[in-house]
Amino acid sequence: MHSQRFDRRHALAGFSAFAGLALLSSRANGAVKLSASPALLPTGAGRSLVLVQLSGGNDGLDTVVPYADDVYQRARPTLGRKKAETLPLDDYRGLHPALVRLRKHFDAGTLAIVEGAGYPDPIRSHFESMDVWHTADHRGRDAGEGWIGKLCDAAFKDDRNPNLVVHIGANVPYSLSSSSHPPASFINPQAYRWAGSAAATEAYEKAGGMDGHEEGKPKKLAGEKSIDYLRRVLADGQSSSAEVRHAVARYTTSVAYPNDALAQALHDVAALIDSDTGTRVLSVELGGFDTHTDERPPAI
Amino acid sequence: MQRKSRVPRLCSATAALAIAMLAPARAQQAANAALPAPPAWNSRNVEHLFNRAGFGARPAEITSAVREGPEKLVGELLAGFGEPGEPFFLDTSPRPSRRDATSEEAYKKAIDEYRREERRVLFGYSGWWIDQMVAGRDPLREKMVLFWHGYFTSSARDVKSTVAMVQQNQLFHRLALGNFRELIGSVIRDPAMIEYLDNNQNRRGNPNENLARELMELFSLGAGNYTEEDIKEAARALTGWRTNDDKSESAYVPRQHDSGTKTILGRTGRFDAKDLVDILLDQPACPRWLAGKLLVYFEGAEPSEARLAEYAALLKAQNYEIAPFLRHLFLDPRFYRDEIVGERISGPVEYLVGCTRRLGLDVPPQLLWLGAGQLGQRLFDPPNVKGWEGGEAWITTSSLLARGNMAGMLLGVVHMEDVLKDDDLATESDPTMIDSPAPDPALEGAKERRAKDEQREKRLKAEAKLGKPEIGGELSALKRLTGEFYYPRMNLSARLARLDVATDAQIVDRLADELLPVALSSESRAALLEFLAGERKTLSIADGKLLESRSKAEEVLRRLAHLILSLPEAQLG
Repeated sequence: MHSQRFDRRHALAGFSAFAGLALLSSRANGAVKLSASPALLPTGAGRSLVLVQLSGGNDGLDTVVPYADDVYQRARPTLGRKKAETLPLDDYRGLHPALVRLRKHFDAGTLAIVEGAGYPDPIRSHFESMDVWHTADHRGRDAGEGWIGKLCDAAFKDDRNPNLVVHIGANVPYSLSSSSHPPASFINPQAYRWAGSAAATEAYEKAGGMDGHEEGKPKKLAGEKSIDYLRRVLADGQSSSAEVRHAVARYTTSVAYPNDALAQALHDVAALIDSDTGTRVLSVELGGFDTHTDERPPAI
Repeated sequence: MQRKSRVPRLCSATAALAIAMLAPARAQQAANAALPAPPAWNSRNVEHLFNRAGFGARPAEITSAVREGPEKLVGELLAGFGEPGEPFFLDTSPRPSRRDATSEEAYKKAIDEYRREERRVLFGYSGWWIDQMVAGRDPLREKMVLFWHGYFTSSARDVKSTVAMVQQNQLFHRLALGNFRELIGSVIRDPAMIEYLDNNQNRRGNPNENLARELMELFSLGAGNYTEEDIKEAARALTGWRTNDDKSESAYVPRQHDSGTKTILGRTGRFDAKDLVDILLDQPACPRWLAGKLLVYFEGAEPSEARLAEYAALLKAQNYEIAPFLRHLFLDPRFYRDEIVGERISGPVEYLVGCTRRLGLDVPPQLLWLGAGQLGQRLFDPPNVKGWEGGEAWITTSSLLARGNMAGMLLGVVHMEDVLKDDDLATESDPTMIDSPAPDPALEGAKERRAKDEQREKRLKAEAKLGKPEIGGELSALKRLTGEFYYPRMNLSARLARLDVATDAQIVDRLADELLPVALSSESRAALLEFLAGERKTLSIADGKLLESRSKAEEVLRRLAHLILSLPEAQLG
């Protein structure tokens, strides 16, 4: 994966231009319009987009803290942080003190921060918010497919490779939802297969899907029979799984990946990028970022 | 194929009987929205009802229910078949307290043992529940418990009390087909729910809106039918309800209740939790919300506006009684229309319980619980407060393959090791390897194999944690259970031989009829016939003679059954 280098001053603006986002002002809390462009997706050979979704209802104002904001300090007489309790980024905002390593990336110009993401007149439903986020549209799922899915339509057009978009993890985020470029997904690449004898596998492919069914549209279309939908997903699964298992089995690396779920998923991401599966968008998810009543444990 | 041919034959034989039996019931229902005509009572529709109102049926059950008519079957589904089984015994002795312990060490030991016991009880209760789905007298009640489990979600991971989680599920069992007003009123006082949605932190002067928000958004009205102000005011009405320390009981603590005046959804008063339920259920959005959820659950498709309005009105007219609502639905001919029958994608629990029932297997229920978890539905551990998304979301490119593997494990023809081994990869030609120098097999082989083994072990450990950590070593439990303690107790060759089945076509049609919830497609049938012919050829057995060689036939039939249960058709119902 390419990591575009930003200098610190342009870190915020840099990502914005890259993603087609409007530039944030230094005291940004106003409405900023998001508009994704297919240019975001890497269409050139050998380039991939890796998405890491950190899931949970996170308190953004305690992650990137606007410590110099009077309104913030007045609204948070107990929860609020003073400058000294943050890792200052500039004279207005600082990172939560636990984010030491992200701070290093910020200083190196490889971290961009988008503040104040939201939508007009929020109803504060967790699920509506996720849908708005995943579709980049205030109508949520009523607006159709996910924002990555829509970008794939524009960037990859008729490329029907079932491994073009891959999610590694249990739940596929709605952002990847697409009828033309649906993601392949798995938890463990080694278990990503149907186990049976060679003869049974041949029959499975004939009966199930791979034989004579069109690949690449496994989102149920209006009026479509469920059986036809299942056949198309199965066809994708049958061809995708063999390639993924190949890619991961063949991949060798000198990097010692830690033994946790995110690191193992990123190992598979690296394996796919290093392979000839043609995967361009890779998605992983790490949960547990909910902020709850224990946000700031009382001082001992 | 077989099923389709059976339809007209049995249909004509029972039509008159069905109409005769429907007459008194229809008069009794005159107060409700009238049904246009009774549903045609044939094996297609009977199997559809068994699939949706239960967990599928064997051909003999279908034949007998066709004969007896719709009133009888719908009545039995609502009342239960036969005598109730033994209820689960739940030990509610309190958690050890530090105060009562003689030493810190003794306390630690006692609490460790208590936690181990809690895990055993959750494992045991899940088994009890799955047993009820597979072989219990009350399949519709179990289907509704599964519905409420995903509707009023709480998670063992967050609640951290098996007693609370089991008691919540027992509440669902008690009121599964009862009155929604009573159920939702009980749920907001339920210890697991209070803990899960932070009502222990919801106190006078220091409100927590979590329970109030989900109560409106997910449990009664749906987003867009209330304001932020309504949520804040509703949270005040819910103050005072909290649990004891080990979450085995809840109680109302008057000094923590905000008894002031609230304005909720246009009404003003000194409302408490009970008043709040009445206010919510008086909203026109409430019957629409619940009727919509029930229709999607049982029909597998979003209802039209007219259908939703009709069923919402019915629910309201019945004062939120669930049983008459379901009775109306199951006797509604539109429940049996082509866009509905065989179009619903089964959830993992439904799929595995259905496979077990149709195979007539006696499976350790925990195996199904663990298996369903691997397929994306771990009971007592929903992904979030909204529950499982269901429908298409069950199906991914890998979950579909994994369903077939789980069916193979039930049949004893697949083991976890078969899924994880990579011997097939080595034999495939690899164009990128052509230019690389051939490795010294003596040196490279062993080292690489060891590295791969290590990597695989590492993956297995990390896998279950991906997305969410498992509650208590379920993956390794499943591996051990299927690898060491499970053997399928069935004899397919004897079963088929007794049915006068001999030729490949007869075997395929009969087995597909037994094992599939919907009709076998012609594409799938052709592939199964080809597979069976190939297996026979390898064994040098002529068509029609397979079952005469029982020892060889059984293995072939189990592999055929594995294929059938892996088909797209097997995922529907």
